Order: sequence, then structure tokens, then C-alpha cells
Amino acid sequence: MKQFVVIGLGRFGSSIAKALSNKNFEVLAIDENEESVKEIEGIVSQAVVMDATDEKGLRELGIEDFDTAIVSMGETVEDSIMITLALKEMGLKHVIVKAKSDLHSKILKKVGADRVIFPEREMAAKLAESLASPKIFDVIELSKTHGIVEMIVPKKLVDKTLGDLKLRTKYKVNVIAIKRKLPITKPDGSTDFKEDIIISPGPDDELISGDILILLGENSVLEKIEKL
Amino acid sequence: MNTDLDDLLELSDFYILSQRFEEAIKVLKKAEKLKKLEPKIYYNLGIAYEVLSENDLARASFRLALKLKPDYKSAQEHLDRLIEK
Repeated sequence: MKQFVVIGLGRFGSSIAKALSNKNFEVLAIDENEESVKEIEGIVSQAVVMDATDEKGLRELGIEDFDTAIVSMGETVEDSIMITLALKEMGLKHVIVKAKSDLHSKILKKVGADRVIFPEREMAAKLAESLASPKIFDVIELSKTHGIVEMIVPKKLVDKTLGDLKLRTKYKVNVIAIKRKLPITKPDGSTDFKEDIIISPGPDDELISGDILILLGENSVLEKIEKL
Repeated sequence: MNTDLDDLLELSDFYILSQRFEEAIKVLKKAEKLKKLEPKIYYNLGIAYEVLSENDLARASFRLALKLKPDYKSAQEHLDRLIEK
């Protein structure tokens, strides 16, 4: 099982520690703030109050045996640089660090960070994308020209089968999957829905209102399909 | 007697279960015009809008359902999920 150490339990650090624990990974969470550690105790495998710039203390915790470290120091840029350097010197293979600025990121890369992240910037870009194209939920860029998008089924495609639509031959677009909300009746008699996914749908699969298509193709063509 | 309203709600359930969400919305809009303060109208509207990914309308509908019935657990669960989307 993969083991993670999360250093710095602010909003981002505690969220990632909880999310990894929910996925049943072993997580060691470290922060010098007792309150922050208390909040996460019992959720992660181990939570420790300590100053993570104390290299000796980190070694005593056996940090070098962990697969990945996530460094998310809220305030002090210097601390995150020192900790990153110490972790790499201890031989950690994968160190991910939250950066506050481009200069911070540059220094982190110089001291050996394997991945530098800007959660606010990434979230902002994603939000801007979703506000610009409300029918598109998620985009994975495969190259400058091709991508995978999650898109609400355009009205013109509803009630048609994939065989009728011939998206592959007409547009060179592959339908990887269809996410569908299936209506159900709950035990109390009220209506609700459960989410279903049809992987690699076939030509006989018919699209219905509310379907979310996961499409792979050329970006310009995907944009055209969105506007159908 | 709430026959008209009950009929419309039953019809909306039928349309939702038949995956005819736009028709369910039309029926629920009719039910809304009866001016009965029935939370299920808005809950079902919320469900239909959510399935169609009309998330702003879904949120507004679940909020109305909760205004009429503050302890409407299912409506609260859907609203919470939509707010975090």
C-alpha cells in the first residue's frame, strides 16, 4: 500500500490528507499547530505535532520510507524550501510542494521538488473554463490539438443512437463513455436518481436528455459538437 | 382534496422515471401554478433539472423545497452536493 506524508495541515494539506485516507492509503500528517493535528487525528493513520523543519525529527519518524511527501506550508516560503531540500536529501522519491508564487516555484524546482502545484491557480483556471463553457464539465488536454471532454449531450443528438450519429466517421470523435443519471424510486416513494456509466458504448446505445458524454477528439471539432 | 396537484405530482414521477425530464418539468410548472405550497413540486423540479445538468435551476428548486419543508433531508442532500460542484 502506498504511504504518504503530508506536511502542513492548513486547508489544502488537511483536505489532501483526508482524501488520501478516504482512499485507504496510509497517511502521516504533520503540523506544528496542535489544533490542526487534533482535527485530523483518528482520520489519518498517524498525526504528529512537530516542527517539520527539524530534520532529525523527520528522520526519527522514518520519513525516508514513505513513497510521496506533500508539502503544504501556508505562510512561510522559507520553511517549505528547507523541508523540500531535507526530504530530497533523505532520499524521498516523490516530493510535491504547494507554491505561493512563480519565484517560489522556481526555487522549489532547484532544490529538487518533483512537482510544484498552485491549487488556487489551478482551481481558478478550471472555474474559468467551466464558466466560459457551461456545457463542458471537464477537459483533459492530450496535446495542443486533441483532448478529452465531458460534455452535456447537445439537444440535437438526443434520442439518436451512436450508430445513427456516426460521430467517428463524420467528426473523427470517439465516445469513450456515457454518464447517465438513472431515475429510481426510493423506499419512501420519492423519486431520485443514481449515477451510471456506460463504458465504450456501442452503435445501438441511444442518447437521452441529461446524458454526459465523454468524448475524445480534435479540440476544434469538440467545440463544434458542443454548439450543436 | 388535492386531486389536481396529486395527479400532476404522480404524472411528474412517471415522467421522471421514464427519463422524460423536460415533460416532467412542464407538468411541475403546471402544478406550481396551482399555488399550493407543496415541497414535492420543487423537489421533483430539482431532480429533473439536476439530471439535465441545469444546476442553477436545480439549486433554486431544492432551496424552495427546503423553504417549505426545512427538514427535507433528500432536498438538503442534493443541494449540498450541487453547491460543491
